[in-house]
Amino acid sequence: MSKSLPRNMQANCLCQVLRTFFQVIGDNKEAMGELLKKMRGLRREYLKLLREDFVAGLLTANGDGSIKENFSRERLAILLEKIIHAFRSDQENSYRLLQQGIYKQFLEDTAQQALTRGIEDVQQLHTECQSVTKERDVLATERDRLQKLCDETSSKYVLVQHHEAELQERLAELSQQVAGLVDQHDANQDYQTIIREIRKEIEEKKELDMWRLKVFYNRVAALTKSNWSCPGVPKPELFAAKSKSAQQFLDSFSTLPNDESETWQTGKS
Amino acid sequence: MIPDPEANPMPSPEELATVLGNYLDLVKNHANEIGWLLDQHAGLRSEYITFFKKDLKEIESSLQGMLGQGSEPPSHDLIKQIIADFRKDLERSYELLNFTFFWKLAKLIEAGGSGYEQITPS
Repeated sequence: MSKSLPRNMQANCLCQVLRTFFQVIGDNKEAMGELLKKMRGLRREYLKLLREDFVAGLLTANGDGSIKENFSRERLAILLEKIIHAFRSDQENSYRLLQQGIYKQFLEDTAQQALTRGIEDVQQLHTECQSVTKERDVLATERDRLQKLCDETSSKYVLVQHHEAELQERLAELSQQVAGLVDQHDANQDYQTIIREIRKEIEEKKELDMWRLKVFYNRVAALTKSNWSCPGVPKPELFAAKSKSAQQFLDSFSTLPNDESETWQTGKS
Repeated sequence: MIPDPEANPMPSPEELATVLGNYLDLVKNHANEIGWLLDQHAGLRSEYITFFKKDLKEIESSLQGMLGQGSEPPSHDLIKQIIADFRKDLERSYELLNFTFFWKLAKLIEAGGSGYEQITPS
């Protein structure tokens, strides 16, 4: 049985052979029984010869047992052995007739029938083998195709991942730019508000006396969030800038030297 | 015929169950044939025992009567030969009931019938 066969098929083949063997036995019980009986008859004949006919015949040869008396033990033993051997040679003819005649013909015929029956099973197994092999090939092709597809998808995934990282980086840059532009826009509005307020103060107070100038000074200080203050004059609420850059601009006033503010507080030029 | 355990890894429980199921079906479907074969084997064993219990004693007695008894009686060699011959004859019948012989014969027929002498017991 070929080792290349799948294991389940090997088991099926062995099972099929055993089934055929039992079928042959079942179909030929009588013939086999007869054959066994003939063989048993030959064995009995052999034993009968040794037990009764042969020895008794020698002892009574010549009517008075002279063979036993005239031969030594060794010679008698050799004689017996030769006679037994000759008898067995004669029996061989009968065995040969059974084995190579009825026996051979019977077993060859029945085995041939069994083989003929078995050929169909073998053909069926062969077809199954081919089917399994074909299915295996198809599966192997499908597996290769899926493997190739998987490799391609993996490559694409790596590219997409790389592209995504680039886009994320670009998005961060754009977000920064947008934030900067928004802040710039807010800063413009803040500066416009500050300038508008200062302008309003200046335009509404063309003739400035010292008190009004101090009030104007405190308002500008509130707008610019400076630490300046003119004592005795109420200071309006601080201006809250919306943009970072305007806030930084306003914060820069806080870092101005104190003597500059003091100049305003004391009214000295 | 028997799968090599080293060349073949252990079958799965499902495979074992399938194979076992097939063989149990085989035994169930051919119970008569198996029973008949076992009866024939039992008959041969019984014949072998009878040979030793009855026939051989009588043969030995006859031979001793003819050859006499000594320290190394020549009948011993003859007895050994007779036992061997009987076993050989019995083997012919066992061979007929033997699956291996059937298998050899089937292979012989498959090979075109040549080499018959090699498989028949002589």
